[in-house]
Amino acid sequence: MILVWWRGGPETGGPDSQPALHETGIMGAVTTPDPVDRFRERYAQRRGEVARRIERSVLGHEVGQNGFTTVAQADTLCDVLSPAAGGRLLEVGCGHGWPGFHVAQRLECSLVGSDIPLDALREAQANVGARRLKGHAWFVAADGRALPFPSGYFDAAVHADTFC
Amino acid sequence: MKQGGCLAGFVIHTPPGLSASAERRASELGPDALVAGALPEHVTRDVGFLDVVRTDVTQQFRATVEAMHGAARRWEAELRAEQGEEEYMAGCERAKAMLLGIQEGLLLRSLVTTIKG
Repeated sequence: MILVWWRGGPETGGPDSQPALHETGIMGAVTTPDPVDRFRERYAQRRGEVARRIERSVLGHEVGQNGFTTVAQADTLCDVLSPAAGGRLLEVGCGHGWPGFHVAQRLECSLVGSDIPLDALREAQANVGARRLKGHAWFVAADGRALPFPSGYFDAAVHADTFC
Repeated sequence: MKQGGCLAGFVIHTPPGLSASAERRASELGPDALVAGALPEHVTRDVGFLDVVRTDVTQQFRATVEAMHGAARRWEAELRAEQGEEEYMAGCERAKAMLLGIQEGLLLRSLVTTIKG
């Protein structure tokens, strides 16, 4: 499931451009700086087979991301997080879910991915089954600085080339 | 995050002590997700994290960008057909700019790990 969070909460109504999101349970809509718009545009573009092939050959996976994290580097994150893992993992700026999927799978955590572009979150949501994380991965359309979770909710967090 | 929980991630950033014009050039050459003006470990400490460790992975970053750019050129015809001329050229320009930024020492990539205090 994707959750959409907007200032004031769902009961006050979301932006007119996103009425369907509330119905599908997506939480979101935030004040965003310009670079986020560029990410939004990039994630809205369909990634073709050749681009995926390149990503596979260079990074070792084909999640369709806007980053530079290889499988070996995602494994490094697992090694670093290992003592704190096993519970709830947050990925800030998750995009299509890399490297969050990889870390959650390896450390057997549940995953919450947060990002702003909804196209990215939809793709991430679509990949949950293939990543064998059905029932263990959720996505939130929200600014990483204002997540709709109580303090102390997550056991560990990852990020990769996220706009700050 | 829980107290004692681990935060780990990769950050593309500028080195400390750059002049304003060098910061501007880094922003022009770097990716959209560029942390400029402060080292990531300082930013992390300022918001209450402890035991911050930064490991430089810039050379792996350079190798990754080079490999992506090389692959894009190797499969140029297919990629142009798939993405269209404008997007293909924009991708190549972005990669070349990042490589230049790394070569000039304006762009770094680091693994930052820290513990929630």
